[in-house]
Amino acid sequence: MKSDPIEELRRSGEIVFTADGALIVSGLPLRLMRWIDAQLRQLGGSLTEIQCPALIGRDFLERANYFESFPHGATCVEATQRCGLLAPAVCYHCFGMLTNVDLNTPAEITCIGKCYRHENGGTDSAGRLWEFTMREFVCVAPSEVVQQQRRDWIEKIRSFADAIGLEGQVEIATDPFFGDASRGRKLLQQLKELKYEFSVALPDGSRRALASFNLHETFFTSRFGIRLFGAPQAHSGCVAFGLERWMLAILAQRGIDEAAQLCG
Amino acid sequence: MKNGRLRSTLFLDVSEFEAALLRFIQTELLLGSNLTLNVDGALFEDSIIDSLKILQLLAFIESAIGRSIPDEEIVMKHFRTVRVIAERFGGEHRLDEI
Repeated sequence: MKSDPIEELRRSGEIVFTADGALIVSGLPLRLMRWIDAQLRQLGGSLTEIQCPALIGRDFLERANYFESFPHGATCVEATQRCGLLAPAVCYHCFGMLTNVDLNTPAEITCIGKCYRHENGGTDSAGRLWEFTMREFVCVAPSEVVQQQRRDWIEKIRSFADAIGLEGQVEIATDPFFGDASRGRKLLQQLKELKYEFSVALPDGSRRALASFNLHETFFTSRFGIRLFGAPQAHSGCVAFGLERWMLAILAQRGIDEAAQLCG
Repeated sequence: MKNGRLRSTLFLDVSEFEAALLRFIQTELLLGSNLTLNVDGALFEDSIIDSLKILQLLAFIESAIGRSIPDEEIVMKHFRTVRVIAERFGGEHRLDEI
């Protein structure tokens, strides 16, 4: 019987799922995560890069209507006489940095950081984690440019997955990008195809999204006062990757030896 | 017919449905805006239809065709313009729903 690569790496101590829903990695899984991130950065080209902090200002999330869209809220941390919030996505930092900025040309930024989501209280060994690493590519540009960027990214990721032998599909996502919203918002997102996901099949038959390709229209640019010279309204979009999920999916589908060959 | 009850008929053909749909959008959904829509105008660009208005639009169409529309049918190829909606859903109308 073929052994489960993830179980094997758990036994060797190279992957540790903490009780809190975080991941400790070393050896091959760590090399693989770094390799995946390097490949994604290469696909994104030469862009301004931001290393995002885990802490995020409440004002940024409020401005992004985060608490209205996601009633379960963000993860809080407490210290003596202070409490802070942990970022649920890294692109919020990008929009925060661009607040009230007049851009002369479209902005393309890549950012990475730890993110925290505690949705329905569940974590699992396929990559549903409370704490995880997100690589994002954010674009602020005229609408047609943002849409073209997304189409380009979808093709890049299809090709990348093919090249590394990862079987997956790009499909319109049904879970709302803007939150646990009403039927109207969900249908509007579906109809306008605002969110696509790249998902893979796991050995247990379930599917897990590894990447999302999102159009925000003017949702963030209007809330953060971001303007673009020559465009009546700046639009934005982002492409987001969960690095732990990519690592776990490659190991699950390709096995330890082939994963080791990929990342050298 | 359900449970022996008769439904009211609003439209007899696709073109009548199309005209009524355009009138509904113009007078109800675009009320107070300066926008003018024609049957081939893109409905879901420039935020003409928001999350509340899409539900009003669905309610109007469902009432006209006499059935509810499942979420999986609500995709752009069926909803791009008034003409597309009328052609996709207007033809479903049955004269026996009187």
